[in-house]
Amino acid sequence: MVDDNGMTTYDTREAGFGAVFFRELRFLKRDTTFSISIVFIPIITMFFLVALFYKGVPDSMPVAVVDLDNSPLSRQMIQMIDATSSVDVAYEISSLEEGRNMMKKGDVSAVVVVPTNFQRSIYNGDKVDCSAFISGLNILVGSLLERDITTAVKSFSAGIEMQKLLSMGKSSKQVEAISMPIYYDKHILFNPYTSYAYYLLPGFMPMMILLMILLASAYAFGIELKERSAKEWLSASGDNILVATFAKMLPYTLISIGHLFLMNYLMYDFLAVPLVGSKEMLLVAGFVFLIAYQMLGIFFVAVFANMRLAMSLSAGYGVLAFSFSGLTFPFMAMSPFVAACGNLFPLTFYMNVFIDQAMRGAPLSMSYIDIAILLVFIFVALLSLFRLRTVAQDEQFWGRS
Amino acid sequence: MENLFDKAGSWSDNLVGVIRREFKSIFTDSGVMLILFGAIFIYSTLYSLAYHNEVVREVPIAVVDLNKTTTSRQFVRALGASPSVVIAAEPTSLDAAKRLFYKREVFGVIVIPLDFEKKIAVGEQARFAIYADASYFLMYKSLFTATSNVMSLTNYKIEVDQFIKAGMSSLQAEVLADPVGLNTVKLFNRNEGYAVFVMPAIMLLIIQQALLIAIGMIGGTFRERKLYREYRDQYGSWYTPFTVVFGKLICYLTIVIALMVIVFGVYYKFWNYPSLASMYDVIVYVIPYIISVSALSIALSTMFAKRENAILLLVIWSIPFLLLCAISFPVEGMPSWLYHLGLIIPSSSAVMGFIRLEVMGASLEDVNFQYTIMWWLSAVYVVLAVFMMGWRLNKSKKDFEIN
Repeated sequence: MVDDNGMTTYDTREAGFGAVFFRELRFLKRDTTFSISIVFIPIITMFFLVALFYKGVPDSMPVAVVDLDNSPLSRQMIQMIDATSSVDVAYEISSLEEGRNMMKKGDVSAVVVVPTNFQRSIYNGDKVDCSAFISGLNILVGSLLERDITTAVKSFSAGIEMQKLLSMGKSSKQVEAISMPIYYDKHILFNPYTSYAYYLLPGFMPMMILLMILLASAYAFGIELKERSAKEWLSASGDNILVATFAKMLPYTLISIGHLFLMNYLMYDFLAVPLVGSKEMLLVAGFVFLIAYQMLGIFFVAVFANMRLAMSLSAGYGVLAFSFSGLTFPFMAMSPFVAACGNLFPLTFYMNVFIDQAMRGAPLSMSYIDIAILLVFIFVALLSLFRLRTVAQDEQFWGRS
Repeated sequence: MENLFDKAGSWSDNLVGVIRREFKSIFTDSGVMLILFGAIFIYSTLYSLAYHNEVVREVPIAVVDLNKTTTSRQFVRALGASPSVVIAAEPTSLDAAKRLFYKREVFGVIVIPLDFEKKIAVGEQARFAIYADASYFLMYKSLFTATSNVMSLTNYKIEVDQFIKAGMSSLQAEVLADPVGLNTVKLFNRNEGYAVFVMPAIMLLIIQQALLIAIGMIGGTFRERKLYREYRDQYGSWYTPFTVVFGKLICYLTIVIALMVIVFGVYYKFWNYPSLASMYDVIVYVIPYIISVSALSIALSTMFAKRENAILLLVIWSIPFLLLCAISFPVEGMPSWLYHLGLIIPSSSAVMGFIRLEVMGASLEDVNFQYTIMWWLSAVYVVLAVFMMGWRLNKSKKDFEIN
């Protein structure tokens, strides 16, 4: 039956889970902008991220040298610097000032200065110092360049020392121990490739999924209020808010699960991000994580009873999750209050599971607590359904946006 | 002649009409107000709070000293004195250390083997082990820098001692131990603050996203409520698309320039962010940015059927757009086609130049490359916006005539 407002009324025999579910599918078919974007935007952006991080490590960053000595030894050292993975000695210039200006233009990120009499000092047995001026503008670039330039100069210096020791009559084995009395064995337990893809991507990829499901959820539930169809929606379920909510959620949950599988495929299979722990646990966590965000979208609609406001808040809340997940900038370095704010975002707990399972292969018990906390988000959001029922039935909450 | 004046007069009336309508749309819409004015202050405050400490120091690590000799203790003490790490625990076995690790009580483990001192004494290389976790990158970096520095220094001391024992003068010994030294000097953002280089980027990105969404929302509202038909003069003839776009641009230029003055003049100083660029340079620099972003937003806004569509479709792009600014991940790590494709987004060029203006004190001339791109984008997007607006006005006109 269709009433005066163009709303269908359902009698008790038709009403139920199926009625709401198919009603939602009809809505998705009608609002094609919405349905196409919730399916494809996360896919497009995830492929974008994969393309962006495909290389994983930045290399050959332009560096300028001021070679005031211009001798065989100075050129040899510059060549050693050039040979490191992150450095590309792209310019030979005559002064540091010129180098500074190039930095300001964004042409180089470091300038290496080799002093005059470089070679002569080495032969004479005098100490000689080179300088590296590194732009601290970008922490990542700066630290990679510092690491590689330092390593290159140190091994050049060690080479000189070894040659001198050899000329003093030491054996080559002795020489090695003398020039490096202690050394480290580096075990990078987790993310052993020290690839940025493996470190940034796992944070950004779930962002695409969570933003879409959160906004789609606020949109789909909010529009029932905005377009005054909330009562119809509720009646399709037989006036059962739980049935109404879950049946309406289902199409979006299915889409998001598709995204979740795509994300896992792209990360662990295509890009081969290490997954040392339990893949099942990661999937379970991913599922609970996306339900949590979906429920939070509903929570915002229920609490504010305004589609536009619910979407604005979802957007803000969703975007902030990344910075507060502690991944790029660790909680440890934040003030305790701010670090505690990280607990307000489900992403934080999903990232914990990711790091424990994919990267660290931690015991499964470490991840139960994170999943339990994700369930708390869902539980809190479920409480808002009481209000959603009121809002859906009360005309004063309709038509606002 | 008179006719021409009339024309100019009515054109400017129309322009004023568009500007007034736009201001009304903005200031009577709490949703638009929240995004256009609220977002920048809310977000920048939250980000500033999150990144306020800026530098990752005192990363807790565990040291397992199996050697327990003067030499090993000296090494551990030197490590503990480094500002980058703090020795949070000294468990007796690697297994015990690993447990602390999983509990996230420590973020790295150093193991000094049983024969550490003995090997050094007999002139063999003594190796210690670092167990590091590169899943939290800034912490990994801190641990690694601290350990390599302490190691180099310890090596140097041991070598000098040995050379002196072998009969060299201390000067000879020092030179032989490290013939070529390196002074590393950090220029700009010297203490490697995280917020220093992230914040200018975030500010510009917020402005871009706020404009995209706010203008898109107004566009959606116009369609939803059939308001495009207000773009007519008192005689009922429709404004030209150019007039509409031009009026909107004037409106957003005014608003965003005012916002920039507050953000960079007051807010930035409050948080103590370096802002080496003069206000004049900042304004001159952002003008093509605001024009290109607003024009792009206007072009997109003509396509939205609902006001919420702008939020739905545009929010998610803030992350790809942030990455295209090459601050989290440098250009040298991206495929070059993607970087070049990314330049069609105004924020990509804008941010790259802007952080150099603000943090390095670069001049407008230094950022000429980015500045030129932004003017080109402005030109292209204004043309696109006029075209799209023409299309939208035509549709509204037809729709209006039918009813």
